[in-house]
Amino acid sequence: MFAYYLELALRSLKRNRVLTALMVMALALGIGATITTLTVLRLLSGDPLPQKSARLFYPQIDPNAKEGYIEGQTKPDSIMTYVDAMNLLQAHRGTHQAVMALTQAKVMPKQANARPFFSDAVMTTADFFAMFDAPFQYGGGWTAADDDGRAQLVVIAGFLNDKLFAGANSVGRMIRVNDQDLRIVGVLKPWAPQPRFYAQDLGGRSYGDGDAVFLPLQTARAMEMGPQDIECYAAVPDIKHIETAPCEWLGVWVELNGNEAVAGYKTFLDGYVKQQVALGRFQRTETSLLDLMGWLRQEQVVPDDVRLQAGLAFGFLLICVVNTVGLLLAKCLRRSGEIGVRRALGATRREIFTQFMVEAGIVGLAGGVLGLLFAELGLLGIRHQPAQYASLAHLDFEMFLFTFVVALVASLIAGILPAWRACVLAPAPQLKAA
Amino acid sequence: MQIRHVLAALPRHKLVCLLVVFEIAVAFAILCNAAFIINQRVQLMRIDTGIAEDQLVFVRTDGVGADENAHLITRNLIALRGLAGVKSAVAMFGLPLENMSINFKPWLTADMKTRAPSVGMVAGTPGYLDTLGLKIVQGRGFADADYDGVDQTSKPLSPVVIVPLELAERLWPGQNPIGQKIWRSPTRSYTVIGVVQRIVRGYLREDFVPGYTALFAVKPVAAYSGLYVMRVAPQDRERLVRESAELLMRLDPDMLIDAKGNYVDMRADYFRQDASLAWLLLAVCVAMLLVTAMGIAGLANFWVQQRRRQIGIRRALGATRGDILRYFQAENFLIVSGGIVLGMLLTLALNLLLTMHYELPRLPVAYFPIGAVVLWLIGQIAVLGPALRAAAVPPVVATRSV
Repeated sequence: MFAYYLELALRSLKRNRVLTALMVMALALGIGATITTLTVLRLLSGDPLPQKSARLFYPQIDPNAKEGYIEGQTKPDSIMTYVDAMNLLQAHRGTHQAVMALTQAKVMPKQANARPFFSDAVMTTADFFAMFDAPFQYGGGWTAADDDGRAQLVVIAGFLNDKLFAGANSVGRMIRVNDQDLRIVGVLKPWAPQPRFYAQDLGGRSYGDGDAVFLPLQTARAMEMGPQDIECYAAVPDIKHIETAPCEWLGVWVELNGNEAVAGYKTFLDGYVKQQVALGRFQRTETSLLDLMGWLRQEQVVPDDVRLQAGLAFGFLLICVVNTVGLLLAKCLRRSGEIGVRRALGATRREIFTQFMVEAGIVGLAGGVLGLLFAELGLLGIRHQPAQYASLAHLDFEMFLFTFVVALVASLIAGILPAWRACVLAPAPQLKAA
Repeated sequence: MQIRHVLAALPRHKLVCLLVVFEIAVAFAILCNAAFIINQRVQLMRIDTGIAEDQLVFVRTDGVGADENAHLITRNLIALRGLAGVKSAVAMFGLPLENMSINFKPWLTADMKTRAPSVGMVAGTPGYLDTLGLKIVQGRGFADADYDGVDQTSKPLSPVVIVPLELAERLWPGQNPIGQKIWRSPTRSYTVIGVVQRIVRGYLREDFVPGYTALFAVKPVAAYSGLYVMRVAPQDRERLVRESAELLMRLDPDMLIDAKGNYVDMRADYFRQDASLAWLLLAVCVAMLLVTAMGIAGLANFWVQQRRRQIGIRRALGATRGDILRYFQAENFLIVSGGIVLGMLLTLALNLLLTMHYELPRLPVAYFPIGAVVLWLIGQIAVLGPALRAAAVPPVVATRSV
């Protein structure tokens, strides 16, 4: 029976090629636009660390002055002072904890005639790698003792290792960073969480290839490497000594296993802030302990432009679907005579309905195939855009399947009304007219 | 007369009419919002930076490092001025739209009570106002003696400042800005000695006024040693970008060149994302209007075929070809108008919803007539073909197949 409907549908579609082409084209444009923007949206709002994100937490506190503070409403600051970050780090209340800031490392290749270049660098502490599941190709991270001892060592990303050492095991070799020789203790496998959640409010970009150089915070500071972003909440006597200045420039991450640990840490954080208020350092008591995805939501990491594009694409798809409904309806009304004959010869309403839905489905599938082509073109366009995430915009298998789901659902929705109109048509008057 | 015919016939295909009305309404909502956003971006991209854009080239380096290397800046500047075609060369910070800026909110009184809105800092070595092509419109420019170093927080030590007209009018409305003071800390004040026409800051943000800047005089210091800016003739730009970068690398093999180029490209780069969004919106709008037009044309065509006999009867009863043509045009106009009215309501509701949840500016009602005219035109163009075909139906059709 289905084969018969298929044949009927194909014959009907062939009869009016221009109209069919119009419907397929419109649907394909709408689907192409929707899939393109959805791919980008999914890319940008994805979980950067799916296996661990529920266990990673971002504590926030607020050292600002009392002015402008509304209890229960003012959100705490997104980064921390050195003093507070170190206090939280040394309290060791989580399974793992690390503090971090972004910086630029000037890397000097050893080869003759090679020019120095800037690399994105992270100044952090020992737990960083274990806490974020950063995978090592060679060697490993460093210890808390290395942190305290300002050890002259560094972990580099795989792509930097490829560039400097042609991918060989470089553990134990030296690399010149900011006019200082550092010993390589580890080389990471490709690791670039999207978005770069751990540095969301530390300056720099949210998407891209990942950082190239990781070095102990104290070592970096001894080399006078400065953070990308620094926010001061009071008059600053000396911007060079940011450890003691009233300035925020570090992010803190904590790994907490289980609800009890989370509740415990929140209590600890509140207690810490109350203690600081008692000491006269703080005036505000607000704290926050968001998990990774909650933190990204609060930061609104997905750019407004991308949301706007997605909304627009859906509006466009809606227009295309309505357009298809109109054209299918027109077609079906024109075929009242044919429907009358079929009904008179014994076809049930259900059969007529199915026949028209099959026809709509074929339009949908064709629209899906063409839409896929449009989506690939759209993504090609996105990859040539000046956005940070441009190079990541690719259609994956799930979105590939999803395209057809969207196409079929859209066309079937578009088909319901015409098919319904067709099947409720009384056969007698149509036969008379014909 | 025509309208009555049209109105009488409309209820005979309610469903299809409603569909077209709905399609037009959604298209209207998208069109108005997209036009609004495109216009916003284009306005942003057309900003007047106030400097001699087509005569500037720059090389951005990683600076000279420690303070004791500050003399290298002077050496580099002298070498750059030696290149054939370089009219002037300075080291500076805060080139308009260079995608970074130092911002501060100056106090207007010594007691730190009144605070000005955020101001972007511009600083440069002797002669930088001339290099940028800034004209003093009031007071005086910097004298050689005005240039001084910076303190530990990188604030200029020199106690004078030059402001653009826009900031002067905002801070001291109706007063002479010359001699007025601003404070950047309790102990560091700056006296206004001159006013320039306009210069915008290095980075634009919604809560920043682009033209609120303050110009300071600094001698070559390590803190502001990253950016070399040269004034050259437009035709020499490409050559001098290359030559100046090579010269700097020769002078200091360890120097890292971050970026180089002419100012016009840098400015275009700053707005690339806005430009690509505007183009994308334009493309979506064109595709959408195309789809809408095709849909209207398809349906109109169908209606014409369906009503061939009625058209024949009307023609037989004395209607001219023009009458039939205008009938379909009037019908289309009515349906599209219905869509536009519904679209206005939809747009208002959508905009209200968006402004409640996001910090979006309200869509000005001025976009409504534009959207309406565009959709009316699209509708008329789309219906023209089918309407002409209808007008060509001969009266004799009325006598056939009764």
